[in-house]
Amino acid sequence: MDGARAVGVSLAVSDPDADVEGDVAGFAACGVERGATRTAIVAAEAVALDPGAPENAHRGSCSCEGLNLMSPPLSAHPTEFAGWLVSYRTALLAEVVAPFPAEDGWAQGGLGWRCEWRRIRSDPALWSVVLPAWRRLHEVTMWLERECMRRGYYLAVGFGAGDCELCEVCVTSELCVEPYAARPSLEALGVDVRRTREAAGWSGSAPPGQVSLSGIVLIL
Amino acid sequence: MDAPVHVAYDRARNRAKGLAHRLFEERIAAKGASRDVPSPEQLRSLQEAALATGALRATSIPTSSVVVEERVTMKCHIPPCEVFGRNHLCPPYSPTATEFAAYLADYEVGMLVQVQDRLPEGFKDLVRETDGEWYCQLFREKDWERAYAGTMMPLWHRLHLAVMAVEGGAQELGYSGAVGLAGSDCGLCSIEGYAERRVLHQVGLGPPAGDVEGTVFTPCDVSQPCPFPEAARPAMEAVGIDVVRTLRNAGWELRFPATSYLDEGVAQWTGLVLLA
Repeated sequence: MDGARAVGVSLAVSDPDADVEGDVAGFAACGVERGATRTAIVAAEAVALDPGAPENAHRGSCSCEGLNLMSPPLSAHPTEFAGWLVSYRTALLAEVVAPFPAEDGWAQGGLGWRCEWRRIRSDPALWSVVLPAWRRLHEVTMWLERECMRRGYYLAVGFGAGDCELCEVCVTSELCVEPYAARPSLEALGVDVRRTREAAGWSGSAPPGQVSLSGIVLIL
Repeated sequence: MDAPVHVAYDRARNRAKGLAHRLFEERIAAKGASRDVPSPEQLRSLQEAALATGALRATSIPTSSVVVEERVTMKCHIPPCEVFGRNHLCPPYSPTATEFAAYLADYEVGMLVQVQDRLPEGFKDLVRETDGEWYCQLFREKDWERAYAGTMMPLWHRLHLAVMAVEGGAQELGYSGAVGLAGSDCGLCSIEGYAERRVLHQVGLGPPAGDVEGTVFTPCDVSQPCPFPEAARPAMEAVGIDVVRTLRNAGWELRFPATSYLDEGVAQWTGLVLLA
């Protein structure tokens, strides 16, 4: 289905007289107040998709496949996400940067799909930095999604980075035990994070000695 | 992938048909090729049927003004709702927006039905006190859950009864394809559903009402067949209806945040009956 079906379809905001531009600017500022290193307002069409993601996400090339309900192949399929994305107009990109105890920098989506995340997760020194950064980005995206919805942007939805780390171990034989909180990452849904960052005027990768995690809130 | 996967996620990937699919398909089959629509007098009688159950208001709408889109059901599983995969009438068991849009194409006229209750002062105070908290934590708290269910579930049952009254009235008028949609997740098997279960049993639409304490029926158990296949109805949003814009097209309003209704001291819930 291409977009919404019906006559007289208006923007997905409960108040038809809402000051959308002002509200979105307010959300961008709110993201920084809540802990994002920076935020950027982007057109939803600037969210770049990796054309190989639908295949890669389900190809089984990753040894950790199927261990997390919020990651492929259990998360929504990239083609499904692409169908949602076309109905949005405006998005808010949020970045969390933290010192990285390694010579090279690392940015989400910089070196292929998710396998980097698993490597970092298995390195205690790296993980001790990345996990708090993940939690900060998760809180920022959750908060922004909540603020958007409270202002009437009721289809706002936020996505983070990497695997969902709310549980120590994700039990995929059970339903998710973190309702209203767990969410897939951008790369799990087939977003090309590097190109999306570049569209916002940000560099595609993190500088040496830093980790950079990116999330996004699709607003309306 | 060797790790076992919950059936709901397999369902989400494989799109097997569930109870609500069968409901719509049976009603559309019963309707056949008929394009007859209710007369203004018949619509008025159906409005009156809704109001007689205690509904606040009801209005007929062309189904072309019902807004359906996939982003609505996306919100059921990103982030996952507490009943995602836990209710027969909700995603991933309910029709997708695309599937529902195909069902909707067989209908020309529907009726929106809205119910309203005054909120008890204690509940209003509780909502105000907890307004700054994360809902993902709040819904787990027993006191909050009890207060919410005690306040909102009676309203849910009133909506369900009003929807069923309009649907039944339309059937009696010969519109055999009439089918209702309620709001939120089906609560027939909840503790608060005891009184309605008794009524459903009396009219032959369900098994004996069970234990008043709810030990038999609560909550919805998707590993078992639904005990009320003739009476259970999906929510509008569970099949991808954008309730906000659909109500706006009807000249009604749904405001955000929900707490903006606290000053008026009311809670509202809306359903839709596809008539013909």
